Amino acid sequence: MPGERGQRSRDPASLGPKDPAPSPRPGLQHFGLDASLTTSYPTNSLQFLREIANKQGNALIANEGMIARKSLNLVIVGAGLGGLAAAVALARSGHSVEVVEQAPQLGEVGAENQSSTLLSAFPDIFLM
Amino acid sequence: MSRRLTRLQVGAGIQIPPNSARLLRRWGVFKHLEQTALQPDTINFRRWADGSVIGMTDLGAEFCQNFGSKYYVVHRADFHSALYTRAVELGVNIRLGSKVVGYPGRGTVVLEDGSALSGDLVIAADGEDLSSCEEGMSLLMPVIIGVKSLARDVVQPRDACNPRLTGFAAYRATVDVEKIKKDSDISWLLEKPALNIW
Repeated sequence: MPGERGQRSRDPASLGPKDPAPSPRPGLQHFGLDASLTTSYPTNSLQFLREIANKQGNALIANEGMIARKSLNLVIVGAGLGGLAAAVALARSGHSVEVVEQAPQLGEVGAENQSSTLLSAFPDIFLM
Repeated sequence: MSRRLTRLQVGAGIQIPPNSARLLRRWGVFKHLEQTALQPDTINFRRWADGSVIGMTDLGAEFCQNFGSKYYVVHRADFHSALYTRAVELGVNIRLGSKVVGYPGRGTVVLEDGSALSGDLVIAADGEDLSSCEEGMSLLMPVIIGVKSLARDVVQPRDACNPRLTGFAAYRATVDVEKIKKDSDISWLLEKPALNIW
């Protein structure tokens, strides 16, 4: 939801010209925010998604769980995040998947748990 | 194969927003992340000058209810490991130490040892294209991130869509929380899990 990030989305009913009330904190009004900084839903994007869902039902995920009519032999070059995600998705669909990776072992990155020492100011987003 | 040097920490943290998290659950990947995924409470936009919060997204229960999943942050290594584990569970054959040196076409790749591997389809997830970058980038990028796609030249005409040097750069760092705890200026960052953007 890249468009959601950092937004304070507000209920459309509260978007009238009388709102928001004068803010005691300078600068907030400039961003259309009031001082309470509470988030309310549904957001504009959520309303949009619900509108689509109402029209199309779950057509967007209707293919979920389907097995391919013809099983293909697939070669994926690269066992990074993208290659492995593709491998998982395609194997679930009934294809035969082989991944080739130049690194001698993935454990250099994969097995080590560094979560306890993690603080990312703004991590990458895994979008699908 | 990603020609990325796996020892490099390229982007230590990865956000998994609800759309991705729902998919990863359906794929059976997320069960391998349950123990390590963090759940930030909020995304805070902060004023650069004084750190005051000027925008906020609440990632709490209502967010979860609306979007069908919590919002997660995982370490790249944990995410990679989870995908690897799930792929193996699904019967994917992963051949390590196999460097692809050529794409002759017809669903075939040539490995460094001279052998060839063929399939109905080849999916090249072998990194980013740096072959046709502007000079400044092509000199810098392989050093910095250690990746260069060999396949890109095959599927995309040269000079068709070259990356351009913008003059901007992204810097990433991972900091030991013990060091942060000892620094009174920034220890408040650890009071609760959150994403902060200045």
